[in-house]
Amino acid sequence: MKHTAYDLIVVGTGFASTFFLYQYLAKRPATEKILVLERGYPVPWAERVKEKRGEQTAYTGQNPDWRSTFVNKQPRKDWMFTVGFGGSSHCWYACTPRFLPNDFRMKTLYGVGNDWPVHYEELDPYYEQVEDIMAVSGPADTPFPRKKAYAQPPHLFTEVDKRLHQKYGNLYINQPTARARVATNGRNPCCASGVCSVCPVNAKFTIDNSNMGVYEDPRVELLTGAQVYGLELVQDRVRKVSFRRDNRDYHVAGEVVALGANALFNANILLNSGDTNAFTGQGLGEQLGLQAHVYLDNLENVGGSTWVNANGYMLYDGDHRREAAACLIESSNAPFFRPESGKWRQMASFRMVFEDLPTPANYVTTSDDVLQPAVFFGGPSDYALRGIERMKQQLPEILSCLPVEKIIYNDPYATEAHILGTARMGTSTQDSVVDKHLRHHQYRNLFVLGASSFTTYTPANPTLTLSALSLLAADQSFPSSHSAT
Amino acid sequence: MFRRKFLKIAGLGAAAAVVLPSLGAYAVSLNEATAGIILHQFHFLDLDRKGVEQFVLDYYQQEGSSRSAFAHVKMRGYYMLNINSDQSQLVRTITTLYLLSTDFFQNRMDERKIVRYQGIYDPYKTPCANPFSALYYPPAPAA
Ligand SMILES: Cc1cc2nc3c(=O)[nH]c(=O)nc-3n(C[C@H](O)[C@H](O)[C@H](O)COP(=O)(O)OP(=O)(O)OC[C@H]3O[C@@H](n4cnc5c(N)ncnc54)[C@H](O)[C@@H]3O)c2cc1C
Ligand code: SF4
Repeated sequence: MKHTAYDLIVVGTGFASTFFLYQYLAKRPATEKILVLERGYPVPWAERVKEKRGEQTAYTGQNPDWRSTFVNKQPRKDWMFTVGFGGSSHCWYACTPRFLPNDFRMKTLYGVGNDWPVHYEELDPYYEQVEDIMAVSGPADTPFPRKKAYAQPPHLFTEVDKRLHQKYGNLYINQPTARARVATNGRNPCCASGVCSVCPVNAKFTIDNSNMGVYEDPRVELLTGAQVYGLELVQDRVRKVSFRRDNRDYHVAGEVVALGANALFNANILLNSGDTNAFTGQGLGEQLGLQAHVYLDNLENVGGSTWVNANGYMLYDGDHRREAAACLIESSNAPFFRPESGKWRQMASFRMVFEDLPTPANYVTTSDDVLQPAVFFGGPSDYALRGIERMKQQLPEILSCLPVEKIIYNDPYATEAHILGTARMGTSTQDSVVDKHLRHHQYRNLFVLGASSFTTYTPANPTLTLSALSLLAADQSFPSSHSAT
Repeated sequence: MFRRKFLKIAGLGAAAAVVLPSLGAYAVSLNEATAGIILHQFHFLDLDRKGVEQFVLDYYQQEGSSRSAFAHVKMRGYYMLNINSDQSQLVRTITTLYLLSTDFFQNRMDERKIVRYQGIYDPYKTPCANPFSALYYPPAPAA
């Protein structure tokens, strides 16, 4: 470390931290001292592809497998992520729909969960900024209001998508995605390989290929191999951040601290530090998803240009959300087929993704090892399960514009690969841990970034929104400096 | 939720455990059962049998020894009970991977040709090979 004290200390280098830093750097002076503590190490994209091909590389084993990083008290439930520089941008699939305006007002509109303290309209310019940075591909007409066109043209529909779009208009759209439609910024066009966790052609947005310039900025000092486990909390302020590196403990002072370590580790760090907010660690959650295979009579489902071609909103918003979860439909374009003579692609496959709400059975606590959170998961709520039942009742009618022969439902997946809640956002300590700027209600120089702040768990993928929230937090919390670089 | 799901799966496994001995399933190896499932699923195609066996060897080598004893029993049970991919996601996954690993899609799904195994389908060795994508079915030029 170059200094003993910093203006800002950021934990993690995933989306939440990087977008926060990006906005912060745009506002702060050239004299600023910023320390970034990242527990893992960088692994370049080409080396990740080599690993996937089964080749040994100098990087193999540098970053721990996610399974070894926490104590999973419900092994039948997965929580997936990537540890290391760039975080889970290295394994995400880059689906980037926005939330709907009503997602932020669940309590007022439907009497469930709670309202978010931030509204869609306020988030809109930050959504736009993230979409531009990620060069998101998407259609002109969407079920959520947008003021300008997406940076990239939409991906191509399959034949099935075309028919559904014809019937449902902007409730069935080309998926907004950070899998490139056309070459951009060193990224190649997506070609529907369908293994996006490590894209073989470097088509999806990652922190490494983002060109955001954050970690090259001379004000930023990046320390890798530094695992944060606690904060020194004195008189309602964070004074120091404690971390372990090469088996040694360090304590470094920061004026402002931002945690971007994901919802499991953010909670662990807060709880290790003695945060007594009643909601810290509580309400861990995510969406629930299952696959519906649809066999079609004499309709070939070909021609899509990416992995998830389309999103359907026909089962998403409405008064039913008082009783049963919203469902977002993803039209898959993986190389699936129907094993019947002459009917190979007379089939569609939809991932049905259901929202959920925070429940007391799902939570994070500390364990005997300060570095490892213990993760408890009792299961999805009845609200989510009722969403599945409702979907099964309504899907045949919804797909009636297609020549459906039969629908086969799989069991729910063990994960949707999203980790939400544990430091939820609200108006006071009575209902939450952080405010709409992701600042801790009690420790006002502490930001808790990322999807740990989500108040409810809409079915839309979380990363676009959590990145926009990071921009909003940094933009509205710090004054602009004239000497900013 | 977990309990219910577990009971459902355990129910199938338990059924398999009861019926398997009477069906002589324990005389069938995991590899034979897996190959049998593939041959059964694609009974209407002319599969090169040695290729199917090689695929099964490669598949389990890639999967490693992570497959539990329960999974072994399950595969044998599926084989004996003629379970197909409409009934089991595991069968769908394996049979899909098998056919993607052959020359079937290069031959434009010509069901008259012998289907030959070519090595496990691997988008990292051959990216952009999704046989149903816009690369192979480009949009019709605007009129
Ligand atoms: C397979 C997969 C597919 C996904 N697909 C999508 C998708 O299509 N769309 C979507 O919206 N979302 C998707 N997600 C979810 C998405 O990846 C996450 O929402 C997103 O990465 C969260 O960003 P984050 O910055 O909060 O956390 P992360 O990206 O997980 O970053 C956390 C960072 O903190 C570091 N860190 C952790 N603990 C510590 C510590 N104690 N000290 C120091 N550093 C630490 C980590 O190394 C990492 O750099 C997917 C996830 C997975 C696993
Ligand atoms: S679908 Fe294929 S090409 Fe597109 S981002 Fe995913 S892996 Fe890359």
